[in-house]
Amino acid sequence: MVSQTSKTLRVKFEKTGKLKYISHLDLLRTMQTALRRARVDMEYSEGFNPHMKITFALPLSVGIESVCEFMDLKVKPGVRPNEVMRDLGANLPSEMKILDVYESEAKFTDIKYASYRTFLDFGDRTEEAARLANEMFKGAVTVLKKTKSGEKDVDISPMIKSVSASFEYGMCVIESTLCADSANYLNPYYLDAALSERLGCEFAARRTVRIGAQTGDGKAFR
Amino acid sequence: MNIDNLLAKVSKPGRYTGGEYGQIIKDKKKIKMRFAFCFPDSYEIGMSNLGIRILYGVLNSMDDVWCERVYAPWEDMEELMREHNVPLWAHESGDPIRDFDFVGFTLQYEMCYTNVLNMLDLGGIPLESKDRGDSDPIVIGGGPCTYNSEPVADFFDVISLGEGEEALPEISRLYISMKESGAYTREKFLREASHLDGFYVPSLYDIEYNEDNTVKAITPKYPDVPAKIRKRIIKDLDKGFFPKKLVMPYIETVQDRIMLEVYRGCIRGCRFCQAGMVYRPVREKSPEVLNECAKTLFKNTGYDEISLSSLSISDYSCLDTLTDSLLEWTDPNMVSLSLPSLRADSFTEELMAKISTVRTGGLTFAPEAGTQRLRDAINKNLDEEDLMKACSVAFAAGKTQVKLYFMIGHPTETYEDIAGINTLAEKVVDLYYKTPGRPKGKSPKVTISCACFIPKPFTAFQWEKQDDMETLADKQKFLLSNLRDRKIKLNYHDAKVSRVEAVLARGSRRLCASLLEAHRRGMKFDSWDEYFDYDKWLEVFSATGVDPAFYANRAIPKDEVLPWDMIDIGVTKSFLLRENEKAYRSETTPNCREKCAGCGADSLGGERAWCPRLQKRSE
Repeated sequence: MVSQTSKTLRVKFEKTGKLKYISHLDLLRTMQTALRRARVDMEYSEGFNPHMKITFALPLSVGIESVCEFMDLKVKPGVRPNEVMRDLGANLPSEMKILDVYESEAKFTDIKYASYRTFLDFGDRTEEAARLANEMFKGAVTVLKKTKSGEKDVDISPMIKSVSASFEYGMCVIESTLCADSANYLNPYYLDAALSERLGCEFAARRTVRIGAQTGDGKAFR
Repeated sequence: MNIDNLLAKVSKPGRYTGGEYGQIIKDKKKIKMRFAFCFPDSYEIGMSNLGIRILYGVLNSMDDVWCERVYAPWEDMEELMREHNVPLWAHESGDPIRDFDFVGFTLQYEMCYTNVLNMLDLGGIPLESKDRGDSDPIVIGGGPCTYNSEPVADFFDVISLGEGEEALPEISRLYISMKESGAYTREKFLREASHLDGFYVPSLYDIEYNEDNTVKAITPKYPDVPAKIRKRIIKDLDKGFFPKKLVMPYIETVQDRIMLEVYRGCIRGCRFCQAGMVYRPVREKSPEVLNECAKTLFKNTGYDEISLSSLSISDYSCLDTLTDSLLEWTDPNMVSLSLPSLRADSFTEELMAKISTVRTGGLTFAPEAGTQRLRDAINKNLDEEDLMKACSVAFAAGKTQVKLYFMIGHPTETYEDIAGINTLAEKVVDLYYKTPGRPKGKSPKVTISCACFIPKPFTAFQWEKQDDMETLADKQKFLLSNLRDRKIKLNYHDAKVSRVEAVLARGSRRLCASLLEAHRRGMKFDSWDEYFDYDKWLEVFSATGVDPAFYANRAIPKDEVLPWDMIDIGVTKSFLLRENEKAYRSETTPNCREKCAGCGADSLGGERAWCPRLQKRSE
């Protein structure tokens, strides 16, 4: 039974470096053991297999890094954010960093957009790719999208809020803000795929980092 | 090429990232010896191995030694490594294993041998001991398969026999001191290592063969090299090393839980079972020490499951005390307790109540043979009545699924014994419907899981032949044709795998050529169905002049020199001979707790041992 005075703590954390290869499910297991090591007094579900009440905000594809991941913990009354920050932080693998722990009013469903920074290397066509990226996402962009009912061509442009690209340090750097609510979630990899196709050239290397999440009015989600 | 760029292209990259919580990182400038502990199979299997968890802790408890983990990369990763010339690296540092002082392999099953060679190759280390120089790592092996390491003897510089908790630090000290004094050469070091208890240096022995391919003589090359090498044991397990923390994998592994090793050895003396002999004498840990270990590990790992590990958990003399003290704190902390390897004759209502307070699936028992006559011959010491009692306890407690383990091809087996397997399963189904309090409206499911007998070194059946392929296939067909009830499901092992396993288990040093050839042909991951290819093995054997039937399907005369005769496990050959003869009289031998059968393992010593002779000595 969840006591009426139980509360929710929001944990903001980073998932960078090699951690980008850890899937959502594996991250959940890692957090569960870390929370037990940290002796955070969690609320558990009822039933034969009780499990901790943990919710993650947004899906993140394996291979994408993030500096703004959110997870909500349902904890027993009296559990303090600063203690969770300290104790959980001390019990995580060294590459995983907690940025903040706080009580929050906002719901995960308030998140409407997420921002990404992508670095692409197209060899000697990288500069051309940056120019193309600045142009092509202004109009309709059709990609082959995997859905539950199979693959189909979808115009992703309604799910793109903004894209701007530049040629920096020899890389094509794309800053994008994409729809991220549950009904309309656009994986940033689709932009790379569309750009590759239009350019007619595969990228040799890629790095993508999620850098922010926003509510409907464009404010940073907290 | 950076490892990171390879990770983007492989399946399950979490196998290779390293960086797990609990991994041990040391300052390279402050250490004198680096040990690459290799598990010759996938990360998921290797991370589950209790032995590595212990020895990783033992080696790293030495200030000047750094031990790291290495696993066999999956094929997709291997292809990328070869394409980009990335040598096999160790998890913690990412450094190539060829730069280490020691490269150790644990040999848990014969079918991993091809992976050992592949990993050496990927590591850029010469495959054969004779080709390694002073700057190459020392390749060391250990684990259950090393009781006959002859089929891989050419690839190992030294073999650690028996339990490694004290042995590995000893050989490390020897290495460090020889390096520091400047006395080190590979040759001198291996010679010195052969003087340490429990270390076998294959290159220091001459193996002579008779014309018929049997071994004629095993002779040490020098007078100071021991003719017999005795396995090592930890006498007092309460005082032995136990890891206080574990490396926590990101990805799900096979045994993703705390494994609490309750005791070593087994009081039973099943005549086909190698583990039951090579781990003798039975030594227990006290429940107090175990409870403390479990608490420490729970605190430091955060795992929510503890599995009590041993060959037959219900034989532990303090099981009640232990489970009671564990349940006191595991229940309130939402930690579940699992007890694998239960014997049917000790499965009681009380025990059932304890494990059903926590989650558990169906139950598994191992009658091993279908008739009492054959169960007596293999010394299983299990009555039908015991099995029925255990099943009715399980059914009354709401279970509907029972899995029964059997083996076909036991020495002295007849078709009547095989028909008995079906009969026994049918009786269990009938019993379900006769059990008051069984789950209402549900039908039972009884699974017969049938392995093939493999004669293993250091068992009473080490001289026995394995049934040939036709006989095994025929017996499996017979079993299937007798299957009348849809509530009974039959699984059986591939006889082809069992045959290759038998060849490698009883092989002599002449098998090294076959393994080298198997490696040259790209064979690996042979313990995986999708990789194992029987025809390829037959080709390899034929190309290297090895007759698999000679090793698998030949009854070995009792006076023949066995390829593993230089190894002493404590249990004597005369005891194994006596047991072999009793099998043919379907005569049982009582377990160690009831009566001493004089196996000889008491000569190794041991505290809290079930051996009556050791108990008498400590009085």
